[in-house]
Amino acid sequence: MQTSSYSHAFLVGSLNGRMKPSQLEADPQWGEAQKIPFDGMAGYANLCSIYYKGHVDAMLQAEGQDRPRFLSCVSHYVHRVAADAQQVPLSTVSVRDGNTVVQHLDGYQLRICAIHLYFFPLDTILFALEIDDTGSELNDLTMGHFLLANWCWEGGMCFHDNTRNALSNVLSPLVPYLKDELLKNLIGGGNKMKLFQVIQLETSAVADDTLYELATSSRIGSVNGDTWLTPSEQYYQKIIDNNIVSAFNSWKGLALMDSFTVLGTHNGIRPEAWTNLYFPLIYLRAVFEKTFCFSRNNAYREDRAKSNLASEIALMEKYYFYDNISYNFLPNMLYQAMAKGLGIKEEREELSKQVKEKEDTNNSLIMAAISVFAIFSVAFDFYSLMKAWIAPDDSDLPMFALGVSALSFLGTITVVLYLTSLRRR
Amino acid sequence: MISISISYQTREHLAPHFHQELPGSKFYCQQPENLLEEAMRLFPEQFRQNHPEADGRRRLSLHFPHPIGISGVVAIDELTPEERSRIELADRQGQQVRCVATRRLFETTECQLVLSADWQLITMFPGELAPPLPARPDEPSAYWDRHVFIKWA
Repeated sequence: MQTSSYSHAFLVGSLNGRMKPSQLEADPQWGEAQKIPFDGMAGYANLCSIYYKGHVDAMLQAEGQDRPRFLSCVSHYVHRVAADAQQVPLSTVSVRDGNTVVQHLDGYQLRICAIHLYFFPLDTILFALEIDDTGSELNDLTMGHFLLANWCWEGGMCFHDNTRNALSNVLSPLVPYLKDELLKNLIGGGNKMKLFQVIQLETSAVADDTLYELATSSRIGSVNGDTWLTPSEQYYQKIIDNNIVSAFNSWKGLALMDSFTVLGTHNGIRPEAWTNLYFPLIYLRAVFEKTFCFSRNNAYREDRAKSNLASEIALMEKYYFYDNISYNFLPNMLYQAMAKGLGIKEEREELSKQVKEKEDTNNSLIMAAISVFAIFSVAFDFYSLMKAWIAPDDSDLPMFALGVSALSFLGTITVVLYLTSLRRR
Repeated sequence: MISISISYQTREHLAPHFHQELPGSKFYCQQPENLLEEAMRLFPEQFRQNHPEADGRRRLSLHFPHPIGISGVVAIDELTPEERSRIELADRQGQQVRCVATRRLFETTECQLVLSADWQLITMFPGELAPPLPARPDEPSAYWDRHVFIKWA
């Protein structure tokens, strides 16, 4: 069985918790990630020569750099897991056909390196579990990633107590900040963590089927096999044709809704570029955008929509929702592929529908208000005209005045009923 | 990855080894899956390199780094002179065997697993792997001449 010569991954989700960065500053288990210096290869100035300054400011904190007020909360905190606690055995227990099945991924070299918390505008907090499983057998690796991303599988499979205890121990710094102390409810939106994985194999070319199997956390060989999880030819081809991103022979990426996978050959994929730059600068941006849109769309469907959605969208349009983030082709290509995989365009279209609907309702209300004034105005004009025609000498016309008043009253009632029916809609 | 399945029938059969209130050799853990998980984690190579024997069964003899239970069989050398004097014949599942009644507990770090070729658990017990009992108690046996069953007093 093939093993990875390099494998590093981030499991990302929106945190089911609420906190301010200042709370973490008082917690010794957490440290603020080092702010990027101004100078140097990975410095702010250098980043701004590759990426647009607006994009860098929207994603990172840099020393001594002023940012727009909307972006002032963007920050990154990290909890480094002690080396003696990094190794987590991955065992599961499940019930299949009445039999209890105990499973241990003995070829899986899992180390949980760190927990990251990323603060974004509009009360969004993303977390990431950084893991390294270099040297793992690929089947164990895909199974391990699947189990970790899903935390507990609905098919009756759950982590063995030893695994759960080890994971709970590693993740304990998060617990005080969670809404629900159960770690299995770690994720604030969606049913699984998103997976960003960088894998290198000692091969001379990237095989599409292996890339697909890794990206979908499937059993290795399932694309060409005969199992119930073997993809149909049409589906497989659609994914390969539409979601692969590739620029050089040494790697290929596959951007899906639940994962972004880059698979490299023995020629090298510069792992540090993927884990230190493309993950925090590009993938997290796409996940943040997706989280924002998804949470607002869900709130709308569940009648929990906020009234200030239009202003939130306007801010997001200004600071995040743009397709090109770099002067260079590769970051733009990666961002566009990741955004496509996450379905951000579709989510944004749904958001736009909400805003348009809100605008239509507002316009109707304005028109209705104008109509009320128009009725009074017409009534007054009609009264003045009739009065001038029937009683030009200013004599009292009580019956006439009563008729005009009744007409105005009926008009007002009609408008009120119309407005009420609009609101009910 | 290694997967072992435990059927309901096997779980019933193993109950005396895990329920502390029933007589017989005991595992310290409460459930067979807990010990199996630890075994798979500690001895992956033994599982991976194991092959079925002629009868189609896999047998693994595992030495844990800590006591995992109480053995139901003890070497006569480990008994006190007073205990040795109390060795007697007793009925065990229809067979006459030598045993000794004692309140002492003989901890063991050893565990025996018997599995089918497709990794279904057939049985597991704490203690060393003993050869089959001789047909009669007076029949010579290198192992059973030096070991007796424990009958907890």
